[in-house]
Amino acid sequence: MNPLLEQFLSESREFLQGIAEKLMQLEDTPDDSHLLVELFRLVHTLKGNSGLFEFPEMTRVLHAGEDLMDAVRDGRVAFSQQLADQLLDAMDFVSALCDQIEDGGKIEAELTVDSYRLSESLRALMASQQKQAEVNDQIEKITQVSAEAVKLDLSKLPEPVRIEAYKRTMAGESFYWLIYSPIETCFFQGEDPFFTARQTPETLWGQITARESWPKLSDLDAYRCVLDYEILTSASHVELLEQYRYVPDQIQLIPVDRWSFVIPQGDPNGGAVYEDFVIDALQYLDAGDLDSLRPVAESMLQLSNPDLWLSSALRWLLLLIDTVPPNHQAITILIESLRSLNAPDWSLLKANTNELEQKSTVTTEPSIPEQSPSEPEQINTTFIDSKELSEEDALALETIFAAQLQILQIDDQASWQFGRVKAAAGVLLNCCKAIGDEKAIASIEVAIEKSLSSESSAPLLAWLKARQQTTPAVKPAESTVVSAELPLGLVSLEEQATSPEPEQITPEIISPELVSAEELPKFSRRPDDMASAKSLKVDQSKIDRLMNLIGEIVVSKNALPYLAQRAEEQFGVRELSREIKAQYAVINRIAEEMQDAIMQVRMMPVSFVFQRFPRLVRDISRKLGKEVHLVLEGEETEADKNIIESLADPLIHIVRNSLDHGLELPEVRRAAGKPATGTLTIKANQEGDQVIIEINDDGKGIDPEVIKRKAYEKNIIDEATLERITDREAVNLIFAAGFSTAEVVSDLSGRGVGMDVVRTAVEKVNGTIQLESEVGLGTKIRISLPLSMAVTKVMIIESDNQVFGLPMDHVVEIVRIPVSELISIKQSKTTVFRGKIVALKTLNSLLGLPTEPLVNSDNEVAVLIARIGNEVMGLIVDDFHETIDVIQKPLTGVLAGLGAYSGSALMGDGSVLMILNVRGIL
Amino acid sequence: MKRILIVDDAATVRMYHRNILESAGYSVDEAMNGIEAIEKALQEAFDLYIVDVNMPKLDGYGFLRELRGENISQVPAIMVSTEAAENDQTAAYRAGANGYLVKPVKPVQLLTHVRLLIGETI
Repeated sequence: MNPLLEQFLSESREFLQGIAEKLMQLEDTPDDSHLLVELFRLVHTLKGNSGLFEFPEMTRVLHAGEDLMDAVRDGRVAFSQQLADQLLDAMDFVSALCDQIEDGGKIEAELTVDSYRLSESLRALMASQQKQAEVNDQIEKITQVSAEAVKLDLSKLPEPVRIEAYKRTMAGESFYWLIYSPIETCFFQGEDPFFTARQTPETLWGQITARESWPKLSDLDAYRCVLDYEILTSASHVELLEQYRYVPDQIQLIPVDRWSFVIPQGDPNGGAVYEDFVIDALQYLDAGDLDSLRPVAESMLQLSNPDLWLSSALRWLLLLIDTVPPNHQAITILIESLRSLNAPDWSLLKANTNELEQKSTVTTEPSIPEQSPSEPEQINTTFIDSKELSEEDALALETIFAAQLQILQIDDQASWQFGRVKAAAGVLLNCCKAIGDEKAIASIEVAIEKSLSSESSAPLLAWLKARQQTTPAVKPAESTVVSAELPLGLVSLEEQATSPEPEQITPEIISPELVSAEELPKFSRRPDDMASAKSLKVDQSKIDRLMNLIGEIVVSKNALPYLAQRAEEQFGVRELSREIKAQYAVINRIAEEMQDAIMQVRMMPVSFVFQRFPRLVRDISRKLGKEVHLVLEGEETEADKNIIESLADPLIHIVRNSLDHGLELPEVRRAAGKPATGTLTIKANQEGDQVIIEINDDGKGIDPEVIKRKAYEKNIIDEATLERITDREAVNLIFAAGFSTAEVVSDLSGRGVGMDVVRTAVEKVNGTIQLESEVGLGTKIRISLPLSMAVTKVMIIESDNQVFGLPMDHVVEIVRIPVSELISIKQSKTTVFRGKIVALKTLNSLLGLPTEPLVNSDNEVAVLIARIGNEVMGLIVDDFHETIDVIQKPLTGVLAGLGAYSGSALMGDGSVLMILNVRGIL
Repeated sequence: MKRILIVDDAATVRMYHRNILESAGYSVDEAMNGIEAIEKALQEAFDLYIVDVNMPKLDGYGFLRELRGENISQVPAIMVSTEAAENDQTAAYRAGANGYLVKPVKPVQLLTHVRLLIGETI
């Protein structure tokens, strides 16, 4: 993709985001004129940008949006929610276009239709007659455009109808083939397609077909319209658009060529035409003797069975012969088809007639194509005597002179008037220099001097007028208006000699080709401009690689203390050991800083996720008929990119849940003595090395009794648990797998997945989630996430003479418990720890190691109290070691299937540490 | 080397104009709005300004009025706009523009105008 297009797309996305935000703000303060102006400017600029490329769909929608915003800004149209909805839809469409451009660089055809529909609905909001006309214009275009795509087959029309139509085309009428496909729900919109179709003016023939085969009568949905209407009409385009003005997007208008009526039809077998007839006929035709051809054909027709294909062809032949003036070529084609028994190939003929028609338009209306090229020629010959100018240069020069004339004539006594005159004077002088007209330079310098000394524009005006009298060829009235088309048109006219396509600014053309055509060096920034770039985009994989490398340095530097230890203990060189240690301190500091720096690079603000909530909350609450005030806090809080990205889905799910099940309808809230508008707060902040996201709503809360009962019914908890579970624990049961409280699966949330998906997603990035709720007052969900996933703090534990790592996130505490305090309930061991019963598991047995756990000299076992989600369990191991920072690498290959381990890490001494997956083994 | 200041809030447009002008051997600086443009114009004498109409903070008209009225710079200025209507054009001239081009501006068209207004032999 070329850089300009890339820039365009990234800027467009920024604008779209800005527009959405402004619209949202406007809903709160619809009278804020500042916001309106700003909003208009954003839409306007975006439209302007899109004009640099050939994306008519985008420009069309944005143009409509711009006009609408213009009307709102000027107070012609009131800002309404409906208007905001429409604009947001339009912006969604534009952003979809951006995506498509980015993916394939091409916009699908169906989006063209959508773009018309969208711009039409935007303009409908302006409800202005004049605008409506514009829309009609556009629709006219699209219906014609789509016509080319459809291959017209009129063979289904009965022959007499086609003959009639053919005759009428010869009489100067033109026909449209109209296809009207009402939408299925049209009856609910007060439309009567049958009536509309019947009322089509100048209908010659029509047919109604079902889009699908009819079902059994009992299954038939009488309120669904599945009919297509096809009508042959000689009404004008305008009349037809008027008739179908309410459903312009549901009709197709295809202009019918006269020759598509001429289709011989009938039984192809039997009654072979004698070669003789064809030869005779062609001879007569060559001689131009149609009067002799007619009786031969007539007698042939009488001899043939009228149902035969041949008879049909002969009937057409007679018709063609009688057509005034007869088209010899057409007759030849028809006779040829009689010989071959194939349908006549009119494409040959059409090509020629088109050419003829085009020629005739050129000769009858010579004004447009002929005038423009001749005009610059005149300029060229008449007004420049010192230097030959190219056409566009000459035109530009005249345009500029005319503009300066206009500028000098402005006499508004504005404070900047003198500056304006000075600038114009400078322009006049520059132009004279540019064309190298020495005489003019001399005279203009005199005029400028006079003008400056007298502080008046009169001398300059006099100079300009005198100059114009000597060059009368250019009429100022025409050249003052510089439209983009004027010089542009000249360019394309010149190019027509080589390429028939007028040049368009498409993204491909913009950079190298277009420039090389003008013999300019390739687009490139000079080195000194490169320095001004303040941020640069880097592929994420490059950063990931850098991070991995830094991670390895962090780990391998840990080998130095071992080395120091060995130097001292094995080789007895204490001096060297000290030096190594000193060096280690330096490397350690640098490595940590490096790691910190790369982490900073990967950090992203949570606003990346938060920014979509205003829209989401607005759309959902409106759909549910609830009034919700969204408060976002701490959007600038940063965390690692992966963490932020993994946060999006769970958060959306939680927000939907809050809106759907938490917050009540306004009347319910009022009845409960709460403000009608509910408040949903999403707050982010950093606590230590954790990012905390809190989602609060002041809705109806969660009833722990309901949850308990539900959980029991679904076998998530047993009866004993049901008895002793606290309310706080109960509400957190909604995170349990297979739990979903929604009685009715709604459109928005509760698609049967429930909150356990949220929990899983959060835990995947080593986060935890907790819920607090008070019935009638609201719900608070708290998600804590690590700042970064790159470095994991693990505790090294030992069991059966092997060491393992265990992520510190799971470690609550480590204790030694006397064997006497271990209680066996059924098969499982438990102990009472801080007043609570804690289930105990032996790491050895979990890993399938045969040895019993070690008991120390005081007859105690080492127990690691681990937290998994909201549960606490004890893990009996042999011994504990230090905690270290490691870069965890996921297991690959066959090892990837080992559920007991979440990965491996390289230790400072070069050994590999296996990291236990606590959830996997417990 | 002639120095041109592009004043436009749309980065895409700035890049587009910069590409065209730099390829033709001009040295280009950019400003995102009228205020920034004035600051730049006060610091450096440019040979030409290419000014957008709609911008935040200070729009193109305001910038040109300031430029001409405060005698900051009286070098030629081209106004670029999406509007082709004649009164938009008059408004531009009134504010102090010397040329008026309709977006999207064709490279040839822009360069011809720039050369003429700067006074470089064409």
